[in-house]
Amino acid sequence: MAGKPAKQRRRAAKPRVREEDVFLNIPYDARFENLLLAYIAGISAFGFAPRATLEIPFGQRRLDRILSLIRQSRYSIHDLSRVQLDRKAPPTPRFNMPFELGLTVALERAAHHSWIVCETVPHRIKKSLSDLDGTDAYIHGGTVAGVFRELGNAFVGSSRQPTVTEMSRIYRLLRVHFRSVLKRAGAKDAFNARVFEELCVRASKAADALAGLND
Amino acid sequence: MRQPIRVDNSRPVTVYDTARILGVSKKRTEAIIREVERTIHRDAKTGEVVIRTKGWENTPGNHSSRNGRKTSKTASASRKASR
Repeated sequence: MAGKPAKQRRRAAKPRVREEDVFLNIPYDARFENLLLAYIAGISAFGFAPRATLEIPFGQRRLDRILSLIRQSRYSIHDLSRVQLDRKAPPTPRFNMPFELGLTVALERAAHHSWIVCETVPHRIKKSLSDLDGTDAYIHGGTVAGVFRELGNAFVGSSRQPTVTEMSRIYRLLRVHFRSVLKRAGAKDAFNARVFEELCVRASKAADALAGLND
Repeated sequence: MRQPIRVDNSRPVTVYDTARILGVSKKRTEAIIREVERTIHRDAKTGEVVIRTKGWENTPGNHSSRNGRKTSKTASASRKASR
């Protein structure tokens, strides 16, 4: 390394793992909008910062940036609910979620990283991804309350222990602000970088208020 | 078996941390905070945080003494103009 120019050394440096980042691997699907808001509300209530590939613009180095995002997040949540074919022609299953889970599992061996898998239907993952045999998924049943319940089951020993009611309050706030956020971003749905960032900041502020912090 | 994650977040993120991590500007963060504060209030009796679901977009930002009523700036301006 000593002989390499400074620019190359910088590129080779590993990204710092952020203890507060939770990488969210979910389907970007209009029918999943409620659950995206639920995940943002729940993760923020625990005092974490949600991260997602929504932040990354499409481009040549997208895969590198996804890897970097996973590597710098201390935790990750992989929702493998969408295994069916989509409606758009040609009908295809969505491979992004299992692909990013695979990247995470590979990275886990080298980096300090913990992950969980969430699903809507019990036992389906045994068929859809049998390689994960021995790792049971958290089943949220496709509901907002289910996501809150399962996040509470998954995150143990957190300094903030929000109740389902508290997470629901943050979710309600996001719902109340949602149209205004979409309008300001000129977006049609939540699966947009600016909308995602705005929702996360709002959820974090609400979580601070619920935790009794005066900023 | 479901493996829970034993988390270590002895210092939970604040809204400013989240904004910095996600690359939201300070100006935008302050504007978002003001908007959220307009929606949230603490119930004086129970001490619980309550989310207002209606009318938060039309209320003034940092004048809590006005109790959510619209400012009368425009009314007084038009009165002055009519004199």
